[in-house]
Amino acid sequence: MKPPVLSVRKLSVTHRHPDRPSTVVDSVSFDLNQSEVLAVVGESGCGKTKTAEAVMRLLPRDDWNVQAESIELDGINLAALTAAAMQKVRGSKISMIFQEPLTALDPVFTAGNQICSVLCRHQGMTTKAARASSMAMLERVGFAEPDHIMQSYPHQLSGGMRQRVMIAMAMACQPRVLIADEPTTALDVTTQAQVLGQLTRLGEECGTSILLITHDLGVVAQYCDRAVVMRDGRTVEDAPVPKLFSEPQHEYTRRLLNSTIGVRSA
Amino acid sequence: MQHEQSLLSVRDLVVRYPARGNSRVPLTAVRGVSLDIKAGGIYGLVGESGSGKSSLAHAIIQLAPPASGQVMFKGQNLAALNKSQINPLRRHIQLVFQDSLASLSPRRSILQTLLEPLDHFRIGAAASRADRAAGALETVGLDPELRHRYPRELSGGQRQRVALARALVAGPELIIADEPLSSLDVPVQARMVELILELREKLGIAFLFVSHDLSLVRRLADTVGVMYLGKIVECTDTATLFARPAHPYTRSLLAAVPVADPGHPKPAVLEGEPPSPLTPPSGCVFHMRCPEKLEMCRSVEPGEVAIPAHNGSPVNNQELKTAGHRVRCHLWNTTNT
Amino acid sequence: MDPANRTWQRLRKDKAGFMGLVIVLAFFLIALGVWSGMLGQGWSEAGGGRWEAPGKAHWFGTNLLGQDIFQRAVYSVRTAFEIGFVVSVLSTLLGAVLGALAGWYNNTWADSTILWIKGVLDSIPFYLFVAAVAFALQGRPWAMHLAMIATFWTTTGRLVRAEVMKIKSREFILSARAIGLPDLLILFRHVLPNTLHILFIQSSIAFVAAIKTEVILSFLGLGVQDGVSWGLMLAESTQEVLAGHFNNFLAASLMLFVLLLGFNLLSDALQEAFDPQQAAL
Repeated sequence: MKPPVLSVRKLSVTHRHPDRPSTVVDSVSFDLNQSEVLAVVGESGCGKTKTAEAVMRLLPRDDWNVQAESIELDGINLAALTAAAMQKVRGSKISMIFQEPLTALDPVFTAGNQICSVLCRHQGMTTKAARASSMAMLERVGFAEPDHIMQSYPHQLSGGMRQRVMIAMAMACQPRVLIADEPTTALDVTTQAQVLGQLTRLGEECGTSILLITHDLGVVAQYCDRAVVMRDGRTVEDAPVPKLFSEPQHEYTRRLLNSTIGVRSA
Repeated sequence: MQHEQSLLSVRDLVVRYPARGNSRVPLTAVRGVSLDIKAGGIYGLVGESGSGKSSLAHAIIQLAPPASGQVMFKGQNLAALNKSQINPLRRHIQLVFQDSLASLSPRRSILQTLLEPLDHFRIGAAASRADRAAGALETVGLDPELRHRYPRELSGGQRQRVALARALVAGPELIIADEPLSSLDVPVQARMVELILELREKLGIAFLFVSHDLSLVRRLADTVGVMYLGKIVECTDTATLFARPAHPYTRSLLAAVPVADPGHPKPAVLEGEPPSPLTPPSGCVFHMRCPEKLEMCRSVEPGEVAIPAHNGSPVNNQELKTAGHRVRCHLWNTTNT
Repeated sequence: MDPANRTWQRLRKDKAGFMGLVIVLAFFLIALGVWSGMLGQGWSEAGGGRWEAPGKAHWFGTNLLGQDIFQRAVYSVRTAFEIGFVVSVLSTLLGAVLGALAGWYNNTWADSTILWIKGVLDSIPFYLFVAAVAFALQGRPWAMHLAMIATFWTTTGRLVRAEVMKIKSREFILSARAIGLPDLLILFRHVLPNTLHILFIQSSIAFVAAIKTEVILSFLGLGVQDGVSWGLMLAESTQEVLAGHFNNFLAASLMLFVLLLGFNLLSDALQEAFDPQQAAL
């Protein structure tokens, strides 16, 4: 059995408020295996986004205190890297996409520009090579007219299109891990099906493991292999998806499953 | 569902926004929509972005400009009234929005926000209005103590209840709710659904519930209308829509929703990009993405057709507008000729 | 905690801002003292000899005419606050109202007209314009103030207009319209209060600008006519400095500097404290 691609042990995140420090993530541990889609499920405020940001080391030191026994990506301890070293790792070995693509993409640069900059920085490509690579990537995320998209600005694209551009950017360097933080929550349901379909297929093709943060149990059931349920900063249950749905162990998981309203009759 | 018994009757409503910025073309968000809501009924209006559902909701009370068509309410055509004529009617139709933080005035306390419609419509004696406001908070399940707080201090669920309380306080007969539950957590959504059903039971208030979330609509609505690019492509009672969807778009929509059951087949992907209302396709608005399109769909716009009930007889043209199950699709048209 | 309280809490934590507040308050108290007749009353008496050095009778010495520099400097605090308050309050109000109307009635003749006026006023070189208006209204008591108000309002107006255009499309405004509230009521009850952060900052900037402008105008002889101000003192002192007497110059410029510094620190802190984007954690 291969070792996990990403291994997090006892991760805690505290907010450094002068009057009211609060623990947002409390001793969270999980593994992300090779070619797996792992869901992190929970209600808002449970700490799932902060966990991801802590793994990516995106939380500013002034406001947040991050402690962990280890955060290992392919054996490298991310928590121990210098800021410069971590910058090299971000985008190339581990990427993240966010919920609101309009604010996550820079409005003053074209989509093509933004994908190319990732390639140039991390893989040292020339502009020409980067452009060709970017076009190829846009095709892979399902765009029928990649050159049109290359020249478009974020505000000219729809939500679903922007999200696919983000996926192209995040996957450009074929990272080992892609963290997707509620990537389709702001999208229509038909667009969601398209984006999640692209995302999981691309992950398989590139051998990228996906950490999918969501509150939607339907998404967990249909796209993910395993799931970690979080509540109030702690992990409450960690199981393969079929088992989670058929035999939920924890009461909170059962409650979540029960409050999900179905669309189609069983 | 006869015309005369409807609380609200919309006929052939068209909503057009003037050309702005770079586009030379005016934006036609709603292209001729008809619907009926009866007293105490809940109508679920389903659609994705660009469908025009919010524009429709706003146009009913003239928050968006109706270009043509009728909106019959209490014997008057709201679309034809001017500002001073429509204002007194506004207390009967109230609005609730999606983003509760943005829909409550940030620098005013909850009490001030609740008092505003009471003072404006001069409801009850001035001295009693504060009590009415507290009462409205209780009706939506909130502690009246909260009335001195500010919107920022409440949770999303609490704020949305306040928004409902503000809609209720004027004693409306119809509440138009535009994606009111979309930004709430699933358990909170479930509780809000119960609240809305309770309000309908106890107070007899009708709802126009606009949403892209099919599971919520299924739980709440009696009647469902599916919108695509400014037109209602299918309209019927909830049970029929989910059991026997007729329009290909409705079927795609239902097939795209992920089911909380790992054994279920993956959501089917609807090909193509969502169209922009600025450049609508010719013929049927859905033809470019339709998995079942016919040759004529490209050029000819389908009219509305009534689908006979399961065991009923075919419907004639006169009863078309209020027939049980209506669809805008050539597939159903050909079988009817 | 309501918005005002929250702002105060944030301000308290900013040391530089707090010091700015202390400075401004101290000067304000001095101004009050002058207004109430307790301080600086001897500013025009020619009690001492010419250019006396600082001593017991005259703390900062005397000027060319034998007037007590300290008394004059203290009286000038009142002048400064008077000009500062009148100009900042009135120009901010004017800017707020015109800016709000322009923003709300965006894309109509009202907006175009106001924008056109703004554009014209802004294209005239500032000090030239102020001087011209002051000159034209010369002799009238409020000439200088009017000149400044007429030019200062444009910045506030532009900022308020932009903000109103943003707020206009937010859902709580839509809610107010859905109830059927009249436009002007919505503008003043719901929209303008959400521009307060801009108004406070702009008024403190205007306060500082007014004082600085007065200095220039006084140099040109168009400033304060009855009374004394730092500007007048500085104008006087240009001759004296050539003769080697610096007291007048130092007194006026130091006090001017300290007050303006205090105000700048305060308004920087206010900017942060008032920022509606910062959520209370």
